[in-house]
Amino acid sequence: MTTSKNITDRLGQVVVASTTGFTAHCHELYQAPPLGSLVRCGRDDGVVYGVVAGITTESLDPSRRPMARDAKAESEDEVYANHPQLTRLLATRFETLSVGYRDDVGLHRYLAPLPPSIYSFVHLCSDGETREFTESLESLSVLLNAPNAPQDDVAAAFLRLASTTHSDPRAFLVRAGKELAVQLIGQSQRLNGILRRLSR
Amino acid sequence: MALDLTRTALQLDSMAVDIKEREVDRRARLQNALAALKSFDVEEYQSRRETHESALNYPIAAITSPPDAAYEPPPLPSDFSVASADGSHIDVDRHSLAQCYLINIGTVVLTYGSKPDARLQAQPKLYARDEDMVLRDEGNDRAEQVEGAVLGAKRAVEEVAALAEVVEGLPQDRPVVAMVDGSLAFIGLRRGVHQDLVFRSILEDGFVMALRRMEAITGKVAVMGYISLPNSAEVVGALRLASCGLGVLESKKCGGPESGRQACDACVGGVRDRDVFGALLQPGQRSEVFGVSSDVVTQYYGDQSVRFFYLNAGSEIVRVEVPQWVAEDTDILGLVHTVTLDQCRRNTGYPAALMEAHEQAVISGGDRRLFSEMLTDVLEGQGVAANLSEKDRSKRMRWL
Repeated sequence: MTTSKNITDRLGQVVVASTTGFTAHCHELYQAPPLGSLVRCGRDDGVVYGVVAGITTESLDPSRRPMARDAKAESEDEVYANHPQLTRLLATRFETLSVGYRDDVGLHRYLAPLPPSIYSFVHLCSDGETREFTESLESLSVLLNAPNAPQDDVAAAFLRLASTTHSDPRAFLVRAGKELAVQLIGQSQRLNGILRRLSR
Repeated sequence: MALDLTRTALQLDSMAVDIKEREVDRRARLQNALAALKSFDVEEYQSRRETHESALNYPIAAITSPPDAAYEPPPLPSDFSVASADGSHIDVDRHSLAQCYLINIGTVVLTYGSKPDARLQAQPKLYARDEDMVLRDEGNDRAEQVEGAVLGAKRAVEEVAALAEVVEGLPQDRPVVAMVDGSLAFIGLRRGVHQDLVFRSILEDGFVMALRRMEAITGKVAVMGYISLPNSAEVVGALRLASCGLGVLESKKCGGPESGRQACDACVGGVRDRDVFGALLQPGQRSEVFGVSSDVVTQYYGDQSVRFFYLNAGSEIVRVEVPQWVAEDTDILGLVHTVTLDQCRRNTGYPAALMEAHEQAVISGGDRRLFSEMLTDVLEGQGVAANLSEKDRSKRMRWL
């Protein structure tokens, strides 16, 4: 596993942390990882893993709401060039569901005993880390049962992205389908919905 | 007790009727003012001004060329920056044992063109030392407390000093317009027994010095003060001096509609400069440049004396004040004109840089309460009782 300190792959910092998940504030506007991405935060001696379950871009100041600008602009880039302060006044945040952690003992695919610290650096997991984490899919139940999250879309996005890190993506997805069938016994409509998302 | 809104509403109704009646009269006076503007004789006015200015009881503008000129904005530069500073403060609380005040200065640099960028920041500073609380005159016992209007003026100095620092740090490969909100001329700062001490400390040693720092920058830099919805009537004052039907010396008795005094047939009383230039200027146009005729400016500003023009910014007539060195450079004056207009157009009527500087600087009611609580905690942590006055305690408790 790599826990690179290179700031170039740093996505942002934790601004809200709880046992079940954390929210990160992106260093750059619109630079959130895609829905379902596996991210990590924390130091070598205590890394917490999360799956991106929601992304929000909004005004930094809740009392200042964005409004439509430059009706005659030919591109969205032109709007930002005409008002360069916007990139400093808007913020992108992403929420994650905690799915595991790593400590001195090794990798665990269940909730960490403590949430990450506020301002912890958040990184996108490398293909190798994602592959290692998804060798077992026991954390899938966290995604499928998370309150206040688009559970099925997050689970499908997580599996689809993870599949690309495995040498045989199709075999990975077949294994994932079997795990889903176990997790969603008696919920055939949900199961079919997720499988449809995986097949696209 | 809550405000008696029923009684208040009746008084508001009555006021609205009065305003409507006065508006008819004001329109007639505006026509007088426009006629006087068109027929203005600069030489005759100069002569009257030199002879009678000191005896007048209303402000007049220095006018050296026909005042009815209107200028189109020059083209906007392809690359330029707009810097701005604004401030907010927490005044000295005389009900508290801890005598201190806080000034929060917000600064902004917005860069447009090939490399758009924005820098926004705020810098709070607490003043609590003895020398912060009083303006002193070296060599004698004169002293003036820094609070109220004097603190407001000190804040304005901090704003323009912060602006100078920001502009000095900018690359000189593109033009820069440095903006502050409000007037460059501290005409309203008249208080205290040691007025000269206040003016020298605030203006000569602070404000004017910061303007000089920006003048000294090698690149193309302009400084300006932006006044939204200006209430001034200095150009109208000049028209009054030039055209009052009662004569020059009697013009100070010729009243506006609110004065209840006699009015001549050509009376322009009650008309504001913005009314005149609202009728004269097309959207985007600026007026001629006029001089601020004030003894404060004459006495304390030296080579940084203040000029002004009016601009039709589209949704309102605004007043733009610039130092003399900006007014005398056609290129830089044009830069101020076109960039101010552009800032207003980018931000639905009010310059974007000023708005963002304000947002950086503003201290909310919640922050003020937190500051007060932090102050109490810090003092108590040091074993100092943060006693409040009984009046303050009474207002906070509001008990029955």
